[in-house]
Amino acid sequence: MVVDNRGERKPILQGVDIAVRPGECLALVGPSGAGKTTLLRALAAGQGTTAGTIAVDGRELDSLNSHGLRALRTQLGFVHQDHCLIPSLRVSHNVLAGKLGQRSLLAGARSMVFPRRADLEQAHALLDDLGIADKLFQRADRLSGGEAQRVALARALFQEPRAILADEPVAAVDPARGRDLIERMLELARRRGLTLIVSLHDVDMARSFFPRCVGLRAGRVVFDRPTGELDDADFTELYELERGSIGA
Amino acid sequence: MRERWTGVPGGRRTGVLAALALVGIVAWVQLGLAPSSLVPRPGGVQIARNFFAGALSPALDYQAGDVPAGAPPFLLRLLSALWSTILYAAAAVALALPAGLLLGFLASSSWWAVDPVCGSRRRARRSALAGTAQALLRVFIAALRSVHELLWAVVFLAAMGLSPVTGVLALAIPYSGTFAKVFSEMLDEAPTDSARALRGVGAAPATIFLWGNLPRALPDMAAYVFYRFECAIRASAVLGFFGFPTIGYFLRASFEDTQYREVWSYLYALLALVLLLEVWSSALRRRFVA
Repeated sequence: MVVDNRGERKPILQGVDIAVRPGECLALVGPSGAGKTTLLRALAAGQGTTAGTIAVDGRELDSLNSHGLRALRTQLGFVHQDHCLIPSLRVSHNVLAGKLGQRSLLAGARSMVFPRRADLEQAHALLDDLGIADKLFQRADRLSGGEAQRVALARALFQEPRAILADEPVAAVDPARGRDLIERMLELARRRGLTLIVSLHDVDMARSFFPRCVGLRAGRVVFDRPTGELDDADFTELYELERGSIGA
Repeated sequence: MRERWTGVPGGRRTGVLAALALVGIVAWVQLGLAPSSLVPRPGGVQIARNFFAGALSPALDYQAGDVPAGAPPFLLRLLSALWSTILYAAAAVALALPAGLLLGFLASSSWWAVDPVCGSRRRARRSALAGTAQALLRVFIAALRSVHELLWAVVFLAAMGLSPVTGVLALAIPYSGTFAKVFSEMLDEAPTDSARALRGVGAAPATIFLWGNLPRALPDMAAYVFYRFECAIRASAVLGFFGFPTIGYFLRASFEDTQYREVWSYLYALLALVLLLEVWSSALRRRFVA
């Protein structure tokens, strides 16, 4: 797979070839600028590719029309690194927005303006699982970074997808809370049989929680193995600075 | 590999600033503007002095003794003039706002946003279509704006005579265009992250626009509506100069009768109205933003 960055000659991702089984949990690690976000977006049908193919359930994204793409996206929950909430609306609206892809324009508007009790109860239960049930009716722009991150996750869960792709979901919180959140995500994923792909800055977290790690560096896969088969040297090499450069 | 230092990037900004300054200088020279023109004609000093003296003692009653029988008390006349000024402005904004919203939505790029993943050939065709539609709309919107509301008033007066519809339409047409232009720009300048998230959950384009793009621009749009309402109040006041029963009608009459204290009463009333709007809109903006 190759993803081109418009305006730059060098592709962001090159020669990436990975397969993920349903229900699998894997961590994506690598230095800044390695292409983790781009890879996640491309996998979630959120970014076009210039070459290569991405297939979900054996169907290539390129073969889908816009209707098919939208249907596919309802199955893939995405947790953005910058949360991407609607700041002027309440948390409840933001969580309920997770199902806007499954409703028509009018039905969606009704579900946002006059939410059904069952929807609100489900949103409340999800937020409760994530430890912020009391924020249900708070405006999204008054949340802390960690709370916003959880709301973004609740939105993805409310969508009832088959897979969740999370881009640095714990970047905005302190390590203890980050571990807690990752544990909750894995627990939810197991309970619901979700596929989970999470990009992480924290290598220790990836190693201690995820059965499979994919290491990405400068747009290429450096390793893709069960975590048990990886050792310190693999990670040291992954993050080693190039001579004369600062990061990416 | 180390990149070679190529020096400070060219002085383009300096060039633009110099060009702008040059335009200003040329305009002043061409118009022959000189401070000496500000020295008033003989007799003018007295008029100016009388006029500004009125500022300190605005009239609370008719300034002249000979008031025609049956005329309402001065303050009542002032209030009713103020009220009809508001009515003209409100009717015009009520007409221009829906039109401006519709045109603004259709002229914004976020309305025509194309899915970044859909096959590239389809994307190119749709973009060309969207580009053409958008360009045509923008020309239409520019046409609405290009004629000032007072010119529309002159044209409509000649065509349809003096009626409230004439005045309201004269204000509403250019205001629709201005709303449309500014709304479309606000929609396109607002952050697109919410829209990205909604595209990610599989929402259709109209849903993305309604819940992703619109809420990000709405606080700015609301504040702008208040600002335009303020502009409409001023324009509605000036419509009075053409005979509409807004505050400008009475202001002009008092001015021509050299009743400067009455003139100042009307001006202060307008000022109070605009200040009141300002207080209201900033209170609303606070609620929107925080």
